[in-house]
Amino acid sequence: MGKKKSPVIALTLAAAFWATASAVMAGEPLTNEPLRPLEAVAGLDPRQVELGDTLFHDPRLSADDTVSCAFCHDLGQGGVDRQQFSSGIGGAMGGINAPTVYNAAYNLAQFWDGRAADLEEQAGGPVVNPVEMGAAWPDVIAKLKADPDYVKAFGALYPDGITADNVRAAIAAFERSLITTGSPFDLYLMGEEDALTPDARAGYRLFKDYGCAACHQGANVGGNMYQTMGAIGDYFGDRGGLTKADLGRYNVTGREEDKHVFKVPSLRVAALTPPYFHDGSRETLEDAIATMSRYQLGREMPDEDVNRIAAFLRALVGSHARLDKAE
Amino acid sequence: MTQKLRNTPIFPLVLLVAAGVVMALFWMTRGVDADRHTRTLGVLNQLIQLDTALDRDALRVSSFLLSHYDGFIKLHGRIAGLQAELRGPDLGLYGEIDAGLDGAIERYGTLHEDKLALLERLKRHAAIVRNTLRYLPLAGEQAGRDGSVHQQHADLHELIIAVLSFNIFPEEATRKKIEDLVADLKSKGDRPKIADNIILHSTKSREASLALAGVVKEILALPVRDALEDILDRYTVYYVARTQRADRYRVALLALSIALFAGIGVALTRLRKAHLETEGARTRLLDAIESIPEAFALFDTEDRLVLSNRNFGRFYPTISDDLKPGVTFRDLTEKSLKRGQYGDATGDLEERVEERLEKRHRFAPPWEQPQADGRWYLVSDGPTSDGGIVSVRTDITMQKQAEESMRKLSLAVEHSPASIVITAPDGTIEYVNPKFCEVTGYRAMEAIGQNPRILKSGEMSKEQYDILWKTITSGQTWQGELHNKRKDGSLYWEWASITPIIDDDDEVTHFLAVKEDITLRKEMEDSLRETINRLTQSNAELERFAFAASHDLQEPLRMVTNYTGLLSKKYRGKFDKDADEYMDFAVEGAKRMHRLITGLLEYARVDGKSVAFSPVDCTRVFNEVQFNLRDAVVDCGAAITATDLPTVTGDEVQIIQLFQNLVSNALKFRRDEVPPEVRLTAQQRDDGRWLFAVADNGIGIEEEYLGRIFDVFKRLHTRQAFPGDGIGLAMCRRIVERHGGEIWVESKPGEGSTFYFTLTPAADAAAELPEAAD
Repeated sequence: MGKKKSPVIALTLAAAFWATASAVMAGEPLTNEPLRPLEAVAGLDPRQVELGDTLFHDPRLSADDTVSCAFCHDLGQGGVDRQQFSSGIGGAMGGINAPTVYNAAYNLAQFWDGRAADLEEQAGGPVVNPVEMGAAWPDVIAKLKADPDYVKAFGALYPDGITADNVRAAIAAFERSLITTGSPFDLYLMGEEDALTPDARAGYRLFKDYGCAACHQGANVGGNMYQTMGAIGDYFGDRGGLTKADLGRYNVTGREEDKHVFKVPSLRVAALTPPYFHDGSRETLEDAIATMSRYQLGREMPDEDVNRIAAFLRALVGSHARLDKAE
Repeated sequence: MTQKLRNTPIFPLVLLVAAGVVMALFWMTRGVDADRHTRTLGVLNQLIQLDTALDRDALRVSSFLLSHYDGFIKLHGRIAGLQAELRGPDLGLYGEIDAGLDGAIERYGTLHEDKLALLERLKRHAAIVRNTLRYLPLAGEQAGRDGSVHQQHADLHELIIAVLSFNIFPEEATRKKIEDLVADLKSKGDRPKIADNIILHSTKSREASLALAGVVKEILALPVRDALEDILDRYTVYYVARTQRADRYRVALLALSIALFAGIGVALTRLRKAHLETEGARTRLLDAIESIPEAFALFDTEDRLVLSNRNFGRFYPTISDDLKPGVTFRDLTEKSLKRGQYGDATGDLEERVEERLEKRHRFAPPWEQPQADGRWYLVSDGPTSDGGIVSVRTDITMQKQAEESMRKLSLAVEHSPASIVITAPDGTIEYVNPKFCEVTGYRAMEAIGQNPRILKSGEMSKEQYDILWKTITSGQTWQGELHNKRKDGSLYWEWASITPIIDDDDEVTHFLAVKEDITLRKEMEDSLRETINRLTQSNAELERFAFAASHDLQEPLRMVTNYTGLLSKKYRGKFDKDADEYMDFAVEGAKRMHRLITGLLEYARVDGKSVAFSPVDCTRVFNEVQFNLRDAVVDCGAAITATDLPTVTGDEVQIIQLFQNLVSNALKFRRDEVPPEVRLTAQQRDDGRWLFAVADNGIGIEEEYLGRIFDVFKRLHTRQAFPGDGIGLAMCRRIVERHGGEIWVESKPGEGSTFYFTLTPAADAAAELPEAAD
């Protein structure tokens, strides 16, 4: 009996070994790359996320009940309003381009100038910014308390019910759920070479070779350091019309060396969020890439390379229920 | 008492204060929490390690060894978390120990912020350096290919080498060389774009390299680690002091705890002693309650039973099973009423319960409660000091009965036909009844408080009073007649019985005199005695006269008899027929006269004879009588019978005469055509005497004559019908009475008569009849 069975076992073992060996050979993840795949934030409370979702879309957080978070951060179009500068209540115009809320969880700080250490701190900012939502917390809380659904939802989650802190915490929780995972590039990093087009693959190599990856690195492809706008070239000199917002992190630290220093933005959904830069001055991705090359790398990039890099950047966009729904 | 009051509250107060101090000490020692201490040390050590990691990463950044900064950001996050913990309330370091430690923590925070800012600058410069260094060789190559730059090619090449070399060895000479080369190149005027670009990148690279080196130096110079170690040192000093202090507190805590335990021990001992005392007192109280003859029950403020003794159950058997602590008095009342406990069970139950409770709660004075079994209880409900109710029941049945009999007795005394006087031992009158007042004429108010000597008439001798007094003071009853004086001065007789009333100690407490007014009786006795004396006197005279008369008449009668007899014998037939008849009458009359006188003489002699009584056999007497009357019996064909007859005491001759008179009387008064039957019987009566009966079947006696047939010379019939001299039955009575007996007759006319008489039996004749001794 034992003799009869042994060839079968041997065959099975051989098949398993072959399968394992071929899998390893086919999909070996890439290591030592400056970019890494995105992972969803773990340990979120779905009830908190749901409440944050509701608040995120609630215009009652603004003074005149006209502007919600989603007003400028349209989740269906990359988490931005695709305007150069965002308009707030009563049509007031802000002085800076709205950054995306997607993947903001992985930023080392929030806002262009990094003035908010985390999402909680950030979430409260626009609410009380006169040119954004222009509200005062006591008024907002009073409005929310008048809504029995909020009273119930907050009561179930927080012992102290509806407070500014809890509103911020809920919104922040929701924002942490906004991670775009499973992008073609991430699949590529995990070993699926075919997930990227040859152009995108070439674009990635150019991205690293040109030195883009010196700043735009990590899982978020940026967002984890600051850099001077115009590290090599004189961006603001060429552009002219200097505004306070152009001073960047200097507005936060007051240090001379922080003038024109901005948080390096994540490029994960950059393909979806024109116009570009803090001043919203570049309409297209290609224009933005070329501009970056000129002022940050001190080099003129051929269109061919620009297009390849653009192809690569488009492959960085992962999926998220809200993002995909609108598309 | 005052000492006790002062002592009692202090001891618990001391214990309380001691307990408070123990708690406070415990609170003070609590700070030294091993877990917290370990965590504090852990946090500080981790911060030191992570700071080192930051420094290491800084060096790696400056050497372009990090391909991305995600790990770096993560490190920031970990440090921020630990820093928050360091300042947070869980460790109890910041803001809770001293300003020195707070200052050290703040200094560390500031230094760390500075380091983070420097690190950000580091990253910025590193990116620029890295990119320029990467680009310059490419640019150099590009310039080589570009023919337009060949004249500056060597300079450019040298510049690139210098920049690269400066990055590795940032020496002042190299920096100077770069600056010189740049200045030189710039001065040569018209240049291709690539040359400009190389110059620009070289300049930027040199600046960034310099800045990078400066930032690294600054980062490494930041005393972040010193600040952390300062925190650690300060914390250690604090911890050691804290531990020492805690040790001292612990010793104090231990000592105080021991003292506290000792105190509690003392308190417990006291408590136990007090408890035992209380228990003892309670036991004694319960024993006392059990041992009293009354029924006792205690109720609380809600009128619920607290305790009751066994007698309570015995007094109220209908509810004895319900007498458990907690039961309400209302329940008990309802149940006992329903179960027929009481003797006056009438009316609506609910009303009676309410009435009973009302009486109880206003604490009515003790009242008497009749029971169904005839007993009486005295009910007493009183309040206790704490608002409860004490119920006491006393069995007063005996008193009630005594009261009742006393009531009857006093009624009897009040309405007694005899005078009743009660005096104190010294003779002072305490009570007289109405009869006394009626007899003496004194009103009760006048008599009470006086001495009975107010009644003294002076008719009685001092000796009589001495005997009376001696008798009653020796505890005996004196009886006798008293001759007393009324209030109005008139005298009266009374029969008095005076009895001393003696208590349990043989002491005379009272004298009781019961007296009957015998004045009338006294007077009647006196007149009776006078009459008897007169009668006795005249009787004796009569007897003497009768004897004398009959004796003296014998002689002339014998002359008349003898000579009329001679005359009749000698001259019969010698005169005419009438003369013979006359002579016969005379002879017959003389004979009858003789019989009369002889009988009268014998009758008179019955008393006079002084023959001593002796035993007389009545059977022999009967035989004698039959012999004497044999001719008459034969003549009339009579049947005379007798039962066994006893032996009696008497004069035999007279008893024979008694029997003979009665039997011949029976033969004499026989009915025509009916042969006489005479029957003698005797039976002994309860008093020992013999009752004789002589019954005949003769003509009987009309009722109207029964009263006088025993009188002398009382004849009921003509001499022709029944011969006789009228002395026989009178003679019988005289004999029977002389023998101390009685004689009477019962008769029905036409059917017969029975004569009864009694005689004394032989044995005790002498004792019964002392007068026969002479």
